[in-house]
Amino acid sequence: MHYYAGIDVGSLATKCAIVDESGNLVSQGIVATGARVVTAVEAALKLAADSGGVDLGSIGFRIATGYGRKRVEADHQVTEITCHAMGAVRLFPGTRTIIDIGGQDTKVIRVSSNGEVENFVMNDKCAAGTGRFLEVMARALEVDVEELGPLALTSEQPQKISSFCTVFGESEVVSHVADGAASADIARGIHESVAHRVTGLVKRVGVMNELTMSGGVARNVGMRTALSAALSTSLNFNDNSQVMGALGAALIAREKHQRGHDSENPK
Amino acid sequence: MSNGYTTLLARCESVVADPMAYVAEWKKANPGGKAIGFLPTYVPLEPIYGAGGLPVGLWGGDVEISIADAYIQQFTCSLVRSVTEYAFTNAYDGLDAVLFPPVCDSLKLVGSIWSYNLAGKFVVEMANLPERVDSPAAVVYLAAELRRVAEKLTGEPLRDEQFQAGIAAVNRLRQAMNGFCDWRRTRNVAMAEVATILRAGTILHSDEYCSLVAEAISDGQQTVEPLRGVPVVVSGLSCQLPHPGMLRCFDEAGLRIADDDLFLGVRGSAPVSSTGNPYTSIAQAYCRSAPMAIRHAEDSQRHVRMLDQIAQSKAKGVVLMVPKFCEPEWFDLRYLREELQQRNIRHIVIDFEEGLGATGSLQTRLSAFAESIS
Ligand code: SF4
Repeated sequence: MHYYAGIDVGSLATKCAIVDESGNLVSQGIVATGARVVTAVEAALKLAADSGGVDLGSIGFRIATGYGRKRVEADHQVTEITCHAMGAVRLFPGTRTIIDIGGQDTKVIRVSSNGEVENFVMNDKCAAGTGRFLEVMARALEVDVEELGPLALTSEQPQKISSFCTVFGESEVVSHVADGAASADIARGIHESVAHRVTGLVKRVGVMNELTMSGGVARNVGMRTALSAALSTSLNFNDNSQVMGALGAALIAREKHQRGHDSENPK
Repeated sequence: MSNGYTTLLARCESVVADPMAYVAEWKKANPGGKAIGFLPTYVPLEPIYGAGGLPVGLWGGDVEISIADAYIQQFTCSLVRSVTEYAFTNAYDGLDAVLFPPVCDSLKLVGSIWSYNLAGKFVVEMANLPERVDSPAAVVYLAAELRRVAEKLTGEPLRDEQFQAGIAAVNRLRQAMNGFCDWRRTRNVAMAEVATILRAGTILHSDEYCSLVAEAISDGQQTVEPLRGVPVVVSGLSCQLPHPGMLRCFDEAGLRIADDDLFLGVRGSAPVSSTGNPYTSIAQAYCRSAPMAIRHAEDSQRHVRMLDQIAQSKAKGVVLMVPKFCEPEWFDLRYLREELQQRNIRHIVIDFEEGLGATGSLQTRLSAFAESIS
């Protein structure tokens, strides 16, 4: 049996997905990226292999993606945009628009029914509308970023965060806290601010159903709720959403290997 | 690459790295000769060469902006901000005059700021180009304007033979730049080198530049080498130049710039006729030149040129490069995108400014674009 691995090196987490010859997701491993990409990649790969009972030697082809892809020893490097597209369509075949909110940037990808990228836009100039914005705001609110989403859902009277700028946004959060606003209401305002920003980006490629969320921030229920409300539509999400990029990379590895295109277009 | 190419590149790199050192060198060899700086994208170079002068293209650079911010808003394009920083920090002091084509609000305003504040350093003059170039009145108007500007810069009317010499020098310069562009399109030349070599064409004296280019492109290699990368057409570079590091990102992303509009203001004019009234001939050539964001004509729209470039180069997509805060390019962007969308031609928009910053996300966008069109 041959297996194929996709390794997605994100700014916060390194994800690994292993698929079999039929393209089924066999297992996955997620570790913190930390300062040493190589160590994180090895750990994610081992975690995925161990949890799926896969012998590392039986992995025929590996593709690296994500911002750290160039530092990974793999057969190919492919951008996360192409990989997220492939992974999202595999997990949710009706996907036509993908919203990937990562730690450093946000991407909106228009995708065809067979997982090909038709268009994409990226917010990469500042931290507004990214996972980093949420992290900084959580710190200002003195809550764990993991708790921020569930906290926002308990809000009754959301507080508006009107600044796109992370630094000014943080000051706004601090002044809401000083004014005695409830943490839940501020948390909801934070998510709505990011949703507002991301909605602008989505509209640049056009809203086409179905919409699927990928990336680490997809796990944040407060973010999914705020985005769904801002876009007036539901969003696909499941427990594998965080490994969508790695899954896409593994599927591309399988495709390349099976087509015998393994020496084509090295990046 | 041939020895001729290596010599051309080395000379161009040194001139682009320090244009004013070259100006000093040229002035030493040509006592009394005037060096006339000019802002992008087009000014008439013929009268400058005709008067025995040296036109020097001012294309800005990756400089930390400090003094310029005291004079112009931060939402001005970074080309204008960087040349202003250079001008106010005495970097252009070797110039005798600077010629502005006030084709956009930024150049209009900053031209006045320069002439008000820097009059003691050099003469600042405007060459007011017509925006619509497809009416006979545009030629009449431009011919009169060119005469006014030329006489202001040179001090006295040029003799006929001087003018003819100037026209011949600039026709040769355009031919050399375009000849180099044709040559490089059939070879794997790094785009950052292409930009440097073309930029030097707006600084080095035409005579030296033309002979260096002629030597470089007569390398005897008739066979066209297999070209690397996914071919794309790049548009939006006629005024502001991207940082060489940005151009390297194209190469690294596996994209090949098969055609472009780099320095089109200088090289895109039709050859100027050596017969008839020289001002009218220059004006006619400008009005028939390649379409750019700064000039408009019903019958030579920019997308027509772009579609032709795509067909000729078999490009798989278009990269629309838009300088930040450049209103002429942003005005054209919507129309160009519509034309491309109607024809299902894949394209991507990249906005840019002087300086490089982090290239990671640019690299990702260009690589993803390459993956999606290959
Ligand atoms: S880049 Fe645009 S705004 Fe700047 S000088 Fe050129 S035309 Fe004007």
